[in-house]
Amino acid sequence: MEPDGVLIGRSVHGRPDAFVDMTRRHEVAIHGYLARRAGRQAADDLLAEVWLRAYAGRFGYDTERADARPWLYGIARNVLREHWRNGSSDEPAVLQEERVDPWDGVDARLDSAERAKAVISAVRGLPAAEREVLLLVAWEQLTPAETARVLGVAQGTVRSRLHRARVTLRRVLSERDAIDGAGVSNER
Amino acid sequence: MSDESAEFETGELLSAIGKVQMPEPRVLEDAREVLWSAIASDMLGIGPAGEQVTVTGGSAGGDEDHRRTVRRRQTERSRDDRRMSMGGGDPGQLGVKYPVLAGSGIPWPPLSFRDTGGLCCHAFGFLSARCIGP
Repeated sequence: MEPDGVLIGRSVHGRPDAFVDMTRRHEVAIHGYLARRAGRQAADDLLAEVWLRAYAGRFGYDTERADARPWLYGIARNVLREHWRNGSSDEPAVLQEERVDPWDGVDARLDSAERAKAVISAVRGLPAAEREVLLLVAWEQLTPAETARVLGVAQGTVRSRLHRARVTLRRVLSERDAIDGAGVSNER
Repeated sequence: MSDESAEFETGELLSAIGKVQMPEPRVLEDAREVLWSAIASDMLGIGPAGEQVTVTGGSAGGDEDHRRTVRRRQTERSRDDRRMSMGGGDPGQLGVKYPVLAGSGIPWPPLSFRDTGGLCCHAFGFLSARCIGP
């Protein structure tokens, strides 16, 4: 499979169909990114906007970069920010919704539902910059280097934000475990 | 619980929380068609209203029109869905008016640009209307 950079380069040199081929590779991922943050309906509306901006900006793409995902996520992020500027909350949609059982297995669901609420609560409580880094890594499966490209910040910044976010989450879960443990002891 | 297992569990929980449904194929196709429409106007060097514009690599003067196209198609899609669910009407039936490129009779924005063949047909139609025709 040809790298994204090659396809984008070809689109710059008179083969726009190559650009569409590139978008096909990432359309589900970019839609997922938008849907997690703005909801499914908004994602349906915003996806085309991401493609239009990417196409308009293709001349600035460094075709040496094989994977266009960080670039596309960066564009999608800008589209989302404008969407949020119109009055919507910038908190990820999936953290706002009452997701009762995102788990398939019943056992896992019973055990995890409460812990998931604790995680959601902890993630919501994170500073926006840390939350964004954490979710790009956890949800979009980006590396810290790729995340840095999406956000336009240094890799070190991403790593430190990620570290702080993870420490906070661990602490929240530990505290919760401690409370649960104390509750069980008192019942005995 | 060790740090590693807590980290793993947190990652698993986050992944589960972040699960979303796959988009409908139609949504992806619509977005692609809007992109093809932008590509077409870029290649032809025209704006959707038929005016000549500078080719600047995608931002060829028609972005706002493409956005309007997105919104219009979404409205049409939900209207068509309602119509079909009520048991009536093919949106492609006779009598349904589509916008046309000024003075040429060519549908604009293009209704289907899924392949370069379609693109060529529209380009040829446009050039015929502008250069070969009366």
